[in-house]
Amino acid sequence: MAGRRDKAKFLSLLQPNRDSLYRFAARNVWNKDQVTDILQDAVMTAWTQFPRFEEGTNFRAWVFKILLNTIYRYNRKHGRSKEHAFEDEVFNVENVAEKSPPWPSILQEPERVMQGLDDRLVTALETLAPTERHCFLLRLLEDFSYKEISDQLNIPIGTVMSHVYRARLKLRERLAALAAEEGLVK
Amino acid sequence: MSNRPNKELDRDDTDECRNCRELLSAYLDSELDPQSSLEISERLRKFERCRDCFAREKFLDDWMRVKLAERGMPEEMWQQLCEQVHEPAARSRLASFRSLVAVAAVVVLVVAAVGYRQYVTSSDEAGIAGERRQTMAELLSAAAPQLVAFRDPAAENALERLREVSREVLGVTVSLELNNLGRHQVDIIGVSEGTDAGGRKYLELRLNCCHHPVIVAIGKCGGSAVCELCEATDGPRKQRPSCCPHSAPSDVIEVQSERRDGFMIAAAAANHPVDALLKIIRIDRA
Repeated sequence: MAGRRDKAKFLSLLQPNRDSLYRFAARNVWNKDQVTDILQDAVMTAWTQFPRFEEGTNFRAWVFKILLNTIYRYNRKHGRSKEHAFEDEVFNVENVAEKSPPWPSILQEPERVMQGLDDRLVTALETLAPTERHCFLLRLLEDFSYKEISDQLNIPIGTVMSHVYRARLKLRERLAALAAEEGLVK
Repeated sequence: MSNRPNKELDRDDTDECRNCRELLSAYLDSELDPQSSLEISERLRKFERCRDCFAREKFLDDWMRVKLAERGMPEEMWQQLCEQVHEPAARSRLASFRSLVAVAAVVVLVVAAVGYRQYVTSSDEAGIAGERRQTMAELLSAAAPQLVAFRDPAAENALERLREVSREVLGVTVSLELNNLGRHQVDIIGVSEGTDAGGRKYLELRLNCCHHPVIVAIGKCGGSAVCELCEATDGPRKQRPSCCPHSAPSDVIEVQSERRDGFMIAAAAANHPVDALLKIIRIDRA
């Protein structure tokens, strides 16, 4: 246990994670005006609970779990979450997998096409269901293992794997569709 | 996995391809067990179609990783968080508060009965400076023991004084959009600076709204007395003025608090709704 609160130690552990925490909050909070408040709230919770943090365990995973709980609480309080906006949409994995989107064309000139989609990536990301988005971002950006994500979200590892797969699938298809819409591929 | 030729695979082997595609995601994440990982490697080596799938997924992952990692925490926000950690944690202090409720109630009763008559009549003195109270309702009860309108409205330059004091105390400009009040009528009674027990400053504003006393406290988030007041009165709530010696059985204090752009705003009004008032409080960083 960390015992008595040690500010210097707490900040030294927090500092390397500041950008990750900010990015994750910014990508998962419905009301963007609340990003600062959520981070402050999460950091204060972590600071308050720091005496209970076990030294030698994964601080990054611990503080992310606190951030996730804070985001859930704020999004719930906000009354509406991104997920409600899109969960009704039926997404048939098998159908998508069997379609033939313009990926071969995209991969002929990937840089040019994806440059044209820079602004649309966030839009595509926001159409994911929340748990898919959390799993995907925790894995892709924050480099957490499936096991760590499973512990953070309290879901089985197999479900994490499935969420990450579905997130990739949806993003791939939506970006391909957007590329076609924008006329970036023939 | 079978090692059938590519041509045959393209025509017939969709189930196996689908399975491969699903495993590719975990393969990219290095999350497959050694046996499955070996099978996928072998498949990628042999079949062009699977290699294409892998190339596409890998390209997308790399691109998204770069694009999504572009944003970092602004330095100003990091400094704000560090500053917040300087203070003893608000929640633990709040917990200490609750454990001392019985003692505090007695103290507040005595203070309210003896000292706060002077507090009501003087709008410039330091309000709740240094005092620690459990809720906004108690604060209002102490400031206006009779729960009737404050006296001695401030001079005409009250709004200007509000802007000046807020810039001085909070480093931002607080103003009231009085035009958006609808049917309510507001008189500013006093604007003052407070300092909590941890030495942090906050803004205290006393008003009459439709001739009902209202008290508003605004402070930076993180460990200030205003935080405690807000957390103790989470969301809109009607409270009995428990520490007000002169309250009538029908008296009710409406309390509401909210977090806005790094600041905590808490307001309490006696026998009057407070939500309209909260809406007209504007905080400008410029």
